[in-house]
Amino acid sequence: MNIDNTQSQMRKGILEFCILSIIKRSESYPSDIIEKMREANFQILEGTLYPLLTRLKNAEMLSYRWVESNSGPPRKYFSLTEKGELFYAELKSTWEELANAVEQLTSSSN
Amino acid sequence: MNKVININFQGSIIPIEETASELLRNYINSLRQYFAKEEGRDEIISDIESRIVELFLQRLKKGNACIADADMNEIMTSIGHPEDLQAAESEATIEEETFRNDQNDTTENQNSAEEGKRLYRSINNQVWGGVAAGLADYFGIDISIMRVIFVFCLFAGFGFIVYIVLWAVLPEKYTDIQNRQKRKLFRDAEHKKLGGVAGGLSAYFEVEVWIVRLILLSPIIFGVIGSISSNSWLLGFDVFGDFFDFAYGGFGGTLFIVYVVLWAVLPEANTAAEKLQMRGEKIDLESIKKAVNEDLQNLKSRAEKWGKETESKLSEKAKMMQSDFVASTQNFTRESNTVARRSGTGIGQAIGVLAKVFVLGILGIIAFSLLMGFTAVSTWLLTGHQIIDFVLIDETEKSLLWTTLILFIGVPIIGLLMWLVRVVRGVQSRNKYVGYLFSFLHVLGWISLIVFVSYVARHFKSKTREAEITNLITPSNKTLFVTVDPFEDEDLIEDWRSGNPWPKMNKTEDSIYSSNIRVKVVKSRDSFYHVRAIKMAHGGRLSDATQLAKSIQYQFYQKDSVLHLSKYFVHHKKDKFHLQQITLVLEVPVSFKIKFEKSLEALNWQGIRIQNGRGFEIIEEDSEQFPWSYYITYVMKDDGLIVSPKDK
Repeated sequence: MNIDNTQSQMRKGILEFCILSIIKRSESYPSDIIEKMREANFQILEGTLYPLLTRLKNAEMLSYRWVESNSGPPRKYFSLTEKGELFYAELKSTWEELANAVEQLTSSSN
Repeated sequence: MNKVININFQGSIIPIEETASELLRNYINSLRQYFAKEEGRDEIISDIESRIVELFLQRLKKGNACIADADMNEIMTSIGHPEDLQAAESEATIEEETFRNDQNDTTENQNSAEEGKRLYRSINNQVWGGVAAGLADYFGIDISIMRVIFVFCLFAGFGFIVYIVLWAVLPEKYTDIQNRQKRKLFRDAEHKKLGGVAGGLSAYFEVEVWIVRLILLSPIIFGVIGSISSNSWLLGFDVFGDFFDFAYGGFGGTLFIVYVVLWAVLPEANTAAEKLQMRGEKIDLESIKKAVNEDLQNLKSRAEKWGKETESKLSEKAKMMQSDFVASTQNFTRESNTVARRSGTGIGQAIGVLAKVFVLGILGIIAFSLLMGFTAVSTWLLTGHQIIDFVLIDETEKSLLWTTLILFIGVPIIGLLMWLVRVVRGVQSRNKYVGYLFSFLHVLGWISLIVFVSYVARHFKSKTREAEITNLITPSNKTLFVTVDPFEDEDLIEDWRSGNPWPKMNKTEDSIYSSNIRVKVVKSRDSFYHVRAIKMAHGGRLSDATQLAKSIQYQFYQKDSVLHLSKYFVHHKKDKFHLQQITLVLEVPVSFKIKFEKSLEALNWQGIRIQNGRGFEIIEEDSEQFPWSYYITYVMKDDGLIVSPKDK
């Protein structure tokens, strides 16, 4: 069993949920998301974020609009679609169940 | 200090060190390859590029004069190299290839969206060499369509060459999203109707088993249709008869042999691990468990099915004929629908498989028949047919012949067969020394061949002619009629060489009979008919040749106005084959006549010419050398033979 592998699996599982949470809170562009995740001390390779966003957009969970930036290229600001909202709600309830369960299990084992 | 250049990157002008720009370019290329199979690849790359520009601008704003290598490395670490991304996200594929480093673009304009794609062979998405898959990927069309195009080209003739060239030229590359396990061809014992070959093939090529069966059975189907259509000749349309005969005969034979060979060669997939290997799935504990479960499920359902079947067997039997027909019709309809639905992949795949099976089958048959031919020739020689004794002088030559046969011909054939079996089974060669050994043996075969030929050629170094003149009695009407007497050929041993020009041996096996005889007509120096028989032979030394020429026996005699020639000349077996031949020069006095009978056709002159003492060639008689017609009277004039005025 490789600890790195297990950790990355765990992170990967909730990555989508975290990204959707950030976007739900406010319309964001990728660098925002990265910044916010860094602040929360959630380690992520930027390279994994872009394909994930594209996939979510292609699955119609996200939509985006272009916003001109005065420092650099125009930015893609992402927001949740209706479908994305539903998806997010489902993920959220699953997460809460999981978090409770994990909390309960890990604390009882101590 | 590195050279700094300005590049236009995502619409911004960036001052960057040349080496850093190189890093950037390679990095983007590596990402492009990493995301090669991702649906929104260009979008992802463009997003990442935007991010990189942002990071560049941040750094420049902070007061950096330009983007240095260190900056670039930092950025790459933060975004992630393909290897890191692969580790972080196990779904996506990693390109095993080293990331290419294009030199053709100058660094000034780094809009990498315009990077050219590269053509390659797909080595994990292949049916044959992966060329079709590579092309399909390159042109962005469905692989099945590419395969169909290829098969059409194949039938048009040039496809084969194009394919081979591309195969040789293109580099290999992994292209698939899933890292598919290398498959092996097995016989599928579970789903077998006969030997399980069709099942195994279907698992190997990932096509439905019925497609494989249909292909294998197609000749029989064609055969049936063909026999129906050829029986309907009364109605006057046997248009397709020949085609179906062909399909049934040639193609059917091929497939039949392919099937039998595969049956013999392939192992049955018995263990769960082998079954998984057959389907190309990854073998781990989970998948083995899954397969075993499926097995048990199958067993259960089979037991149930069997119970039901026994129950209904009696009633079934009664209406078997009828229901069989109905069932098969239904099956066919259902399957046609399936075909229609999956037309893209199913049929394309099937055609690809068909083409591969066909080509492999043909190669297999060639190799097989070569081997058979080789075996046949060897057995024939081994069972002591006289040809060896006939041509070869001593044991040295015989053993040289054997070495040559085995090493020069046998070794490549066996090598070809082994290669075919390997291709069919998808096994990689484990031992490269086998290849070396085969090449070495084949080179020995070449040496042996050269030595053998020069050895044999030694016996043909010298050439001699022995002339014997016989005077003929002038017939009363001054016309000589030339005929060849019939010969009881039954006394000679017939074999597959029974046709001319080869010499034959008589039944007592002591003499050689040859009809390598020609007739020439010249003007006589006096007023009599003469026959000059010139016997020719080759030998190692001149004395040998003379001896051999003298021992040739040839009979002819005159009876009234008719000159009777023999069909064969004879020499003893121990004289061996030394290119013995006879030229009969008929000398006709001026104003005397001559006439030929058609039986002269039985003589079979083969102009044999030694070339530099290294082998010989056979020149067929051309019409110039015997320009006379049969049953026409010719008269000798001062300047040669002409058609007699009476016969004009």
